[in-house]
Amino acid sequence: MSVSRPSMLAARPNVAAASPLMVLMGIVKRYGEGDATVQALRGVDLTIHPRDFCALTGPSGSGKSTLLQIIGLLDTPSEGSLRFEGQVIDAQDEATRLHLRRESFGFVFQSYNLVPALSAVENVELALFHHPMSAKERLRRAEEALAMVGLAERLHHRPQQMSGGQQQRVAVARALVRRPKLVLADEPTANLDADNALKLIELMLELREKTGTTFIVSTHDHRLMPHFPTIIPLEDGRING
Amino acid sequence: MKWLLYAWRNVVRNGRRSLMAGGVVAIGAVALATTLGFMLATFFGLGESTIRADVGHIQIAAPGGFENDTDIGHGLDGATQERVFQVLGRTEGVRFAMRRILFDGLAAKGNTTVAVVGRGVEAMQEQRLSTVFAPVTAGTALGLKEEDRFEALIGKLMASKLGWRPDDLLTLVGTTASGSINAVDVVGTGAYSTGVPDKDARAVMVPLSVAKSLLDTDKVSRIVVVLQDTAMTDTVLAQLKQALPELDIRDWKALDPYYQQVVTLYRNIFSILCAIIVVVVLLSISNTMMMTVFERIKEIGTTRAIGFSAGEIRASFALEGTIIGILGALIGLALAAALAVVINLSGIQMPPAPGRTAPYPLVIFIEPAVYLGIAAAMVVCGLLGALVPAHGASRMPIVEALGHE
Repeated sequence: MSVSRPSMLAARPNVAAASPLMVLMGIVKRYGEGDATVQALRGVDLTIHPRDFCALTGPSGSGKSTLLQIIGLLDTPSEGSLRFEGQVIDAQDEATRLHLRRESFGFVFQSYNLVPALSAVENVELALFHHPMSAKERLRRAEEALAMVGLAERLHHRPQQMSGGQQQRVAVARALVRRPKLVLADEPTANLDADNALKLIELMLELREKTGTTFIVSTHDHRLMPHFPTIIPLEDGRING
Repeated sequence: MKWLLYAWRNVVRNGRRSLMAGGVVAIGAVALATTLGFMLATFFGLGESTIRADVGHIQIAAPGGFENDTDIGHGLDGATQERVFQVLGRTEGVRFAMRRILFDGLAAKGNTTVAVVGRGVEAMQEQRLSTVFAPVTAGTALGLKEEDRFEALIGKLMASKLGWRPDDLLTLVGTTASGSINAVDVVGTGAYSTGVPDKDARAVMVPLSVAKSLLDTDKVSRIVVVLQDTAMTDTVLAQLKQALPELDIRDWKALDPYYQQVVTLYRNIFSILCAIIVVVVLLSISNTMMMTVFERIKEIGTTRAIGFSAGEIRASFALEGTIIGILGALIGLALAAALAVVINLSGIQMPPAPGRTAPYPLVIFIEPAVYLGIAAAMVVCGLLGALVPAHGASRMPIVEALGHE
């Protein structure tokens, strides 16, 4: 992970000279028009490398979620450019953005966002709908992902039959089942107690070690910071190094 | 299969809403099936009653014979009649045929004279056409075997006008084929009802031989053909037209404009009714699905974030709507069939149709093709009802959808 500030580069371990996974240059995001314009991001430069595991921190309204949404190609910047594995991502090219979301990105949301009608394993399978594979293989992969997050015994439970921590682990399994290059987690511990929050971060770290997946986690829980090798402090729409 | 399972799970998850939407579809299907079943039964009943009343399936006349139907000069001569019967004898589907003479004239009793539209018939054959042939309201029917008897049946309203009593002597006056005036005395054996008041005021029916005597001719106005099955009408008509190109041959629909008028009228009424039902069903489903979609906007945002396209979101909702449409239609059509059976067995009588005097039984047809069409319409309603609200939601920016509570 590298950011525009040299101090943050110094904080990043084990990234050596690997070619960047994603590069953000001069990202600006404005909402509204005229006098009602709100500038959520004010020129963010950020370089993300494979296997990074970093926390995006900052107070409410600092732009964490907005930045995460732009990195995850869920939203488009008002200004600036993005490159993913060297490829410039055109804000208007929805087909490419959709393809990258399917193939290279995983998402974990604050309130889990599981489909209530589906069981744990079906929720995970949902992320494999676009991957050409047999139903049997899809099921096997989903079961494997759930086993990886310690939910092998909860495959057929519906979201409402599971605790918040378990639901969030299902969400992590859903994010990882496609073996993405980058997982973006937006306040994934906000609805969990301290114990479960810690377990989730430890799980993500473990999965990063196992799978080599890059994680960017937005959080304002300072108790978790020691677990992140890299911290990106965001304040008032800028990276504050 | 995975999409179907996903859609099915969502249908079940929103059980109450799905039940409401499916219920609307089912009620719509019942309404449509019952309405169309009644319409078809009415058309069939009207058609058969037209045929069985006196029209038959097909009539054959000499050129101009239909336009000048009471002018025996335009009738079919003996040789032509013989040739027609030969052709009919070798045409598949023909049950039997009979001759008829139509004439205008006068009927007099004492000092009272009324204008009549007369008909010379082969009573035996007429009775084969219709079990309610010339239903007698007073006196007795025409003799079936005594073709030479000088007797007549008269319309019941005409009987009142003439002050007729059973077996009163009547004088019939007509114009012969050569144009001179002729008269015969007949015994008025009975009064009958045609079911149409206008006809009851002027109708006279006599044996064919009496009509021939009155008009002093061997010609007949028409040959009436009765088929084994009404569905064969078009085929037989085409064959007869090919075999007898010099004659004027018409089917029962062409001969009775009343049928076409009623069919057109009913079809217009029922079309509007069906359109209203379909629109109500569509709006109800759309409203229900709109609430479902609204509740699931966050889910839509999530699925789009993990790689579903807007089109796939729409398709998944459309599939849900289709499932609801299919289930609703199946339940509705089963209920409609049960309702039709109950109604058909209950023997409910409907008031007489316009221009008719007799009530008729309420019958609802269960027509597979119609049921199939209704099922298709209801499925399309379900699909469109889901697609319209899903279209808007699927186009919402992902971030906005994810932030929806």
